[in-house]
Amino acid sequence: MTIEGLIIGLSVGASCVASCGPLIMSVIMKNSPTPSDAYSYLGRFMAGRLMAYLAIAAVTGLMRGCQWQSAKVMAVMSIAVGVMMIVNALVKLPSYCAKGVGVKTYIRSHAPMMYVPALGFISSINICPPVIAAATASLNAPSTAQGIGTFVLFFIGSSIYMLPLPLISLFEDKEAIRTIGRFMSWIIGVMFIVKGLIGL
Amino acid sequence: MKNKLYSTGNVLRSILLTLPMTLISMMMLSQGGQALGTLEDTCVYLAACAIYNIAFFLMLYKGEIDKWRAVVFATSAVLFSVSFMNNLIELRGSVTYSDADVLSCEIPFCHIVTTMVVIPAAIKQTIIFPGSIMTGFASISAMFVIIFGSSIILGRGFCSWGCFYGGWDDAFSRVAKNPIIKKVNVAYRWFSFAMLIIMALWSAATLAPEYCSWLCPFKLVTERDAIVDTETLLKNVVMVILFLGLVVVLPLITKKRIQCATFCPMGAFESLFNKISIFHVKNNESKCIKCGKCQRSCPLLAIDSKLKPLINCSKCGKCVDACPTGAMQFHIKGTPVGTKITTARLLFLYPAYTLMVTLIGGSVVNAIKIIINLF
Ligand code: SF4
Ligand code: SF4
Ligand code: SF4
Repeated sequence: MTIEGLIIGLSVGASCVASCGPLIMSVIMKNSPTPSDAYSYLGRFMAGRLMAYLAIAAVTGLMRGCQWQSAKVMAVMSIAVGVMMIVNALVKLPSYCAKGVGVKTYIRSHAPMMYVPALGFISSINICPPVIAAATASLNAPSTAQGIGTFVLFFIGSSIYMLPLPLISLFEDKEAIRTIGRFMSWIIGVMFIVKGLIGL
Repeated sequence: MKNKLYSTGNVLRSILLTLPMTLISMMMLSQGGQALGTLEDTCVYLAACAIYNIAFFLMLYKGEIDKWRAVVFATSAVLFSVSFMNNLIELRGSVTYSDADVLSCEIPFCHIVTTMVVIPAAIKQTIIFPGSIMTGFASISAMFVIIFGSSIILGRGFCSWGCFYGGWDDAFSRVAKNPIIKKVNVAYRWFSFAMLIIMALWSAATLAPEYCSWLCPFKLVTERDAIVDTETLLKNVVMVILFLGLVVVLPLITKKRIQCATFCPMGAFESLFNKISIFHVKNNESKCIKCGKCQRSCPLLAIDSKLKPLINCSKCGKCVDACPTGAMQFHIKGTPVGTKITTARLLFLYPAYTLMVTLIGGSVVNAIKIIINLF
């Protein structure tokens, strides 16, 4: 049954680029990192996304079909994503490749970095049609573990389409790319906040 | 006054160089003979031919491209709206459209929606615009051929020579003698690129042309949602605010084409074609005296601090006209800079003007007839 997750992921992955692509693209563009940094941003965004999927899978499995998703929660999530995008427009994220020495220093110096995984997590908790399809498959899995497996494979299948996005950092005119990324963050931020406010 | 750098010098030479355009415009404006039915139709047709050819002649004779281009471009935009809205009233009885019109795919295809159709077509194999693929006076396939063909040849030249909306903000950007706001932050030139990426992906996610639904100011001068509920009321309010703000007021006070320079996703999309077009506007640095007139005059914020035209240049020719030394010039990529500049101008002008006549000329003929019939 778990292979169904992979098939769903592969078939709807393009939609994921359309829905979540602008978020991570604007982060990459605004902070205009090198390609390796850009892939690091994508990796962390994906990690946040995976956490969200696992959480959805676990809750779906535990609740076994009970309605747990609330429109109000989704609206709040939407506002949170909007605020995070505006933060991205205003604040320059430090490079992911910066190293901290010692656990405390590492945490302190990497605290702002948690921003990207958190963005991946919150935006993916926001349930979209592909996630609903994967959730249904997960629900039909014989056990919670297999349900989670379905979601992990869904994640892998849908993530493949995201891989080319960081290549935007190869563009030479870094200033233009940064400015476009900043404007994208503003536009997406306002859009998500308005969407959330309407949903409240 | 003539621009001595580019004026063809004498009337006869200018007439001879206008002749190819005369033939092309006569052919295009005749609309396969449809425009020549009655004596009145023929007179209107000849008048339209005269307008286009006199403007072209003046570009050559006076050596000023932008001034005469803008007159025809702006007039054409207004007349296009008259013709388009009249067509809709004849076809559908109204310039508003309802859900039923959308469902029956009766919305004429507009080039701006190209930016929202391409990605869903590529990744979801779906055409998300409610228009006819093959038939009608603005079918999707016909518009695709014209837009991509012209963009490959002219790059973003489309935005100063072919777009039937651009003339609106171009016109308003010329009304005031001096700008009230003298400095516009040039970073805003990149806003339209952000709009392009978001609108393309948002439309792919929702499978609806979201810019058209919510943000296009030009619906005010073409067709718009019938107001039937709060959502359609809101859409109409947004449309009026955007038209007044981006197309009228801001161009008036900045003397820049704010809608086209900063907001329209199609402008950004067209800009990408500047990378492949053989024509561009170039600063011949050996002649440049760094006076900055080109940068101040550019209506699209398309000249950078090093006085070089950028990817968003629409080849309007305003900076070329403004440059006192002839440093700013039309140029064909791969040819030596500073040589054969008149040839490069001419080679650009013919296809650019042909695009204008082809895309908007028919509507101009129709609109003149409509206006005459009003009296
Ligand atoms: S920017 Fe948009 S509205 Fe302006 S001329 Fe280009 S396509 Fe037309
Ligand atoms: S750079 Fe020159 S030709 Fe290009 S848009 Fe600006 S004024 Fe027009
Ligand atoms: S107007 Fe001409 S001379 Fe003056 S800065 Fe521009 S290119 Fe140089």
